Amino acid sequence: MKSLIKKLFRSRLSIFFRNLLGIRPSIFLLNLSKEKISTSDAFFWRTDKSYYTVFKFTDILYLFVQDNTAEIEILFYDKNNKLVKEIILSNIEIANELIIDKNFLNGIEDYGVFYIFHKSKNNTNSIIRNSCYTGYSFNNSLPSFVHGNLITSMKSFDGKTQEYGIIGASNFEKRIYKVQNYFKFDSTEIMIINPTKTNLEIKVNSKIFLLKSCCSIIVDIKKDELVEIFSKCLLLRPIIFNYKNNFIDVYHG
Amino acid sequence: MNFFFGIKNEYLSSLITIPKFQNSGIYLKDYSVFEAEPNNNNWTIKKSSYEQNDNFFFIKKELIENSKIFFLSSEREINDKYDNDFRKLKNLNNFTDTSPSAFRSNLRIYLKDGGFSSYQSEYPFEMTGKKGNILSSVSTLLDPMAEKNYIFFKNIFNLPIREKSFLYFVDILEKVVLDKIEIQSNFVNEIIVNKDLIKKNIYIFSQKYLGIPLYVSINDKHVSFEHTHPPHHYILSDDKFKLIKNLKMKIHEIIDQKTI
Repeated sequence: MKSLIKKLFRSRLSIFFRNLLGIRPSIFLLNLSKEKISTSDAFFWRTDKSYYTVFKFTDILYLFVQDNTAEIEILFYDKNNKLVKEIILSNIEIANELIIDKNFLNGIEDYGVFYIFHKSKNNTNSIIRNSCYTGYSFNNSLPSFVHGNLITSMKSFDGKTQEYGIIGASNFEKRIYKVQNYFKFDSTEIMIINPTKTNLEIKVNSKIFLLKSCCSIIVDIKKDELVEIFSKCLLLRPIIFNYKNNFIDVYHG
Repeated sequence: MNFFFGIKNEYLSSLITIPKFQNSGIYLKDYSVFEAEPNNNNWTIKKSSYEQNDNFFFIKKELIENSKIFFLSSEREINDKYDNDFRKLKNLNNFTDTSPSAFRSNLRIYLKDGGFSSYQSEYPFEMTGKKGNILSSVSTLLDPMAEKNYIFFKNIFNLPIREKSFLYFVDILEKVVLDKIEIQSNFVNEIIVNKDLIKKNIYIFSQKYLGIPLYVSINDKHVSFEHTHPPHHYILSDDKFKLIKNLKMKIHEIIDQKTI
């Protein structure tokens, strides 16, 4: 009985009504009772301003269930959510590294988002989360690493079903996400993705802009000491780039 | 309730910035920062000598010791909840119990005349009552080409003890223990990581205590600082505890072979 209630509570319909009515809203539009799913955080890549991005990921299926049939699919989108590159990696190791620079992205010097999914032919009945690590190198300096931020997408292990923008949004009021740090640097940039299925009106301090589903943006924070983000997204947590002298610090807010 | 901590090291200084507000924008009332340290089987608790502005408390490097922890509270809550019995950490308030995003301080480390790096940091009260093992990949956040690589392993346990245990470096594919380092509870344990240990198959495994593994690389005055997630972060389905138990059992078997 308890298991049935848990299943109903986690169902897509239940999440829809909970979020519609604002009763114990679910951050993720993901039914955890399902199986054989690879989920991915939205990872930022940037190749603008002499940046390159290092991506480190683990073969989670091998680590936990010794599934050595897994392949990795990584999909790269630009800031307007247009697919710019797709790679499939076979024979992956337990730990892996990928350098994302402008050469890798066919000359693109910009920023955007990428997702990573495991594919498997084995009958693994789990939901895994690819919450990996990205490092950002500025002017060829030591990359500053940050872990994955938010689950934003899912794909079945057989690749037949997929979904993006799985963070919930409020139907009524805007929410505030006030970053818990004091900003006193030469400059600060925050990277935001719209992780929901709907277009969002977002206000960052005094700046207001519209961000379409799964699109991303870098916002300059001038001399503000606080960063406040208003939107209808249930959790809009940015990646932050702080600059001081010739040094950078990247972390999730 | 969350605790906060800093790092004291020969090369690195740290700064803890504790917000006076939750992520949702709600501000605290009449709270100060207190510090606690194990001392003769009791927790010594006192108000910290922090600096502050309207929005933040700042714990500067002079106040930071590897055995100290910091938290938000009022004098009254401490008097009421501890009632002069300081043999165990108490859960004093729920101001820092926020969801979906945890209440965090910013823990920044920096080099004199050099770079800096930070992460949003917290140590939940619930973790201080548990023992267990932490498994974490070494190569994920360290750089074998960097001049220096460190792992700082922070444990906070609710009893004011400095118990010794081991942190193992394990090659999980070759199934051998490559090194073991003595660590202490209620301490930021500093481990200088040799380049030979920064390899894909190598993980650290704590023998007895939970903790947060913090990874630092330093190169050409630039710094990278980040923590890894525990294994349960990577499995969302209901079989997560079974899978993690199986994985940890395998690591225990490797360690029990006493290959070092």
